[in-house]
Amino acid sequence: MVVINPSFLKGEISVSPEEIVGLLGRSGSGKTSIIKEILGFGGICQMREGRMGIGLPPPRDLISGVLQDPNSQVLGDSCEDEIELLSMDHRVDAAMAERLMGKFFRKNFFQLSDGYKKRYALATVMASKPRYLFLDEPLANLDARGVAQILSIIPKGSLVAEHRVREIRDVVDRVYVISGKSVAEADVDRLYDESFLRANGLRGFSVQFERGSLGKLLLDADVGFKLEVREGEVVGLYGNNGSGKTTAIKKLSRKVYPVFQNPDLQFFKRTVYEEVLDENALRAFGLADKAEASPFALSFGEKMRVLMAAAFSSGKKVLAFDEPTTGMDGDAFLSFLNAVKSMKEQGRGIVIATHDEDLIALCDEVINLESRERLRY
Amino acid sequence: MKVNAVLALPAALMIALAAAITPSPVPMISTIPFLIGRKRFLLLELLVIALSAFALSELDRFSLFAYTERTATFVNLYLLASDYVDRPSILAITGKAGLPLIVGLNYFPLFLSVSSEVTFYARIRGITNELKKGKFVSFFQSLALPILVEVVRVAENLYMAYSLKVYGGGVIKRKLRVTGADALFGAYGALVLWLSLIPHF
Amino acid sequence: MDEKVRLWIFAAIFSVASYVVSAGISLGTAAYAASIFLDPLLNLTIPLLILSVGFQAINKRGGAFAIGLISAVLFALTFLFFLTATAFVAGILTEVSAYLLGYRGMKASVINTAVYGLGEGALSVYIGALFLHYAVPILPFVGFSLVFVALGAFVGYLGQSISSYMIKSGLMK
Repeated sequence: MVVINPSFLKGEISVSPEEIVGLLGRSGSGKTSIIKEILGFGGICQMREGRMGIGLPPPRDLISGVLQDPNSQVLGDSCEDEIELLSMDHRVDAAMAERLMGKFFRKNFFQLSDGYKKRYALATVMASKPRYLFLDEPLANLDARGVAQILSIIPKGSLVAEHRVREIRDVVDRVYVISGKSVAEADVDRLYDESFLRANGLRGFSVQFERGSLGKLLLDADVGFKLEVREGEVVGLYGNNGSGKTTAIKKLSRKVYPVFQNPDLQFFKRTVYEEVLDENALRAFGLADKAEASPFALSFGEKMRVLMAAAFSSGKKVLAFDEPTTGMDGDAFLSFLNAVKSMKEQGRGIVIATHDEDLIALCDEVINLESRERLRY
Repeated sequence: MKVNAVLALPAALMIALAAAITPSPVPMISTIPFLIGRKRFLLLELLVIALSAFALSELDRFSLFAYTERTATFVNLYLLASDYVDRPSILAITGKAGLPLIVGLNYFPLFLSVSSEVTFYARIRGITNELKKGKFVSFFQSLALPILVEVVRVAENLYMAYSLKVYGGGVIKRKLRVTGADALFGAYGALVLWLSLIPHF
Repeated sequence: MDEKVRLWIFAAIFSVASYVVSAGISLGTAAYAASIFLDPLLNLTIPLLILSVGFQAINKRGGAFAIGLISAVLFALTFLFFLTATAFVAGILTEVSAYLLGYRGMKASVINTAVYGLGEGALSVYIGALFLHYAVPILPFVGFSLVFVALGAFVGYLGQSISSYMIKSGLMK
């Protein structure tokens, strides 16, 4: 069993080779920082296996990990390529990697689906057979299909840092929760307790949303299918990754104010204020104290709030959000719901492209991009 | 089918040399069969070559057609190398020192996508309006900022991933396996160079 | 952690990004093609800006040389041989400049980037012209060189401004 004492939190985390352990916490609580410390890229945490201390960086055949973004962890053209490169450096289990990737073992990384990109990142590390594996938000950005593709291969001896509670609570044997300046083990049953989830800024709780009356038609567009949006209306475009949600939003980009998935590529100014240019919007989105901060340095949830505040202050009648809840913890999710409520009250129309089923509760109409079925609530 | 770099790169260099120093169409023609998998690109290229030949002959400047052939050859060789060269085998030549370059080459598609996405977002956010107002410096900084932040982020992440995955510590074992197909490709490059040097070709 | 590995990984990423970004910008929009003057200007400045920030991000002896070397190899792999030599020479010249001035700070950034711009820009014009069997006369060559020095200095100024912002925000170590 490996025992870790993070440098910036009270408490300790332990992982044995026979279990999968969850590490949960709100956005900005330190999950990524803990993983980086353990892997030797951050502060100095104390680690031991049994009674033996583990120095930093730890031996990679003992402790390894996969960081959040698979796009910047690729060493080869394809999994086969990368395994061959790694085999020149140390012994790897190429058969394991091929089994994990299946028919995509020889496919170029950038042609893989989001789920298989994450699987590639895992497979190339697992092939080196480290005893313990530390995973930073392996389910981020994934639809249900992608989540299943990852959960099915997470090995024993792993610590999984996540805030997508609903997806991992049936997989973990034990769980730790970061709260304030400490980390402590919690009963896995608590992950089904909605008040516990809300109190700790975790996702997985259900939401109710009041639908109001709709006003005049604001948008009538053809994006491969007919899309109409009225005042106070939320239209959902529902589908798995690759179903055309982003394409639909891009087609609308001249008529609406769109907010896309990767916030860092959508910031062009050095401070939050310069991005939003409206003090009322900053206050409405809880960003008044971050006005002079760099938008790039904020947590993911805060970055999405900056983009929403900018959308809010744009004055445009129809706003479109592409997977807005990706990477959002429970607090940011509630913040987003409140923002949508304000926008509806202002008589704006909203289009949300998503695979997040929690957002269906918000929508007045949902268009399934795969079956083209329309549901009006 | 991938070809060992030890023979593929010299073969490609011989074809490039043939294109650079002779007006022969042989180097260009020799690269076309390998691009059968890229039908759309090939059709477009053949169209451009045909148009160029037609236009230059009409303008009585057919001697300049050698530059069209040269450009087409170089572009085709680049695509050929991307599709057919076995990248790990490049390490047989360079050793571990070549690994960061091999790894870096994989990031062409990512940065292409990042820069085109950023420019798309800049346009819809009205950043390009700064140009119309004459704010050139502000425009450059605005456009460059998200690209640069992303480049730094990718570099940091890749360094961490590399450190996690490449930890053998010692010299990379050089795998120098040359097959019949590799030798054939090497001979092909030599043949193209020889044919190009024969005047009536 | 292994500083040498970090240096070469950073050099590879910054060189690849610099190489490919102008193609991406051209793909992404035609909005700024309102001016045919600005298209080539953007294609010259943004790649050089990436390299300028790269020198500062690496901030280690050999960083500029590594960037020049990897850029040279990239140009060779894509058969742009006249740019291969110029990138290599530019990397060496910039490393000499950085040896004297360091890699960070306004003076270092402006001069290092001006040197790289001169090495790559002016030499590539000269060698490119030779490739087309045309020898550039001395006065135009000096004129081109001054333009590239001025452009490089401007880009170095922008590079320092952006790097300094990233360091203060914790985005760059």
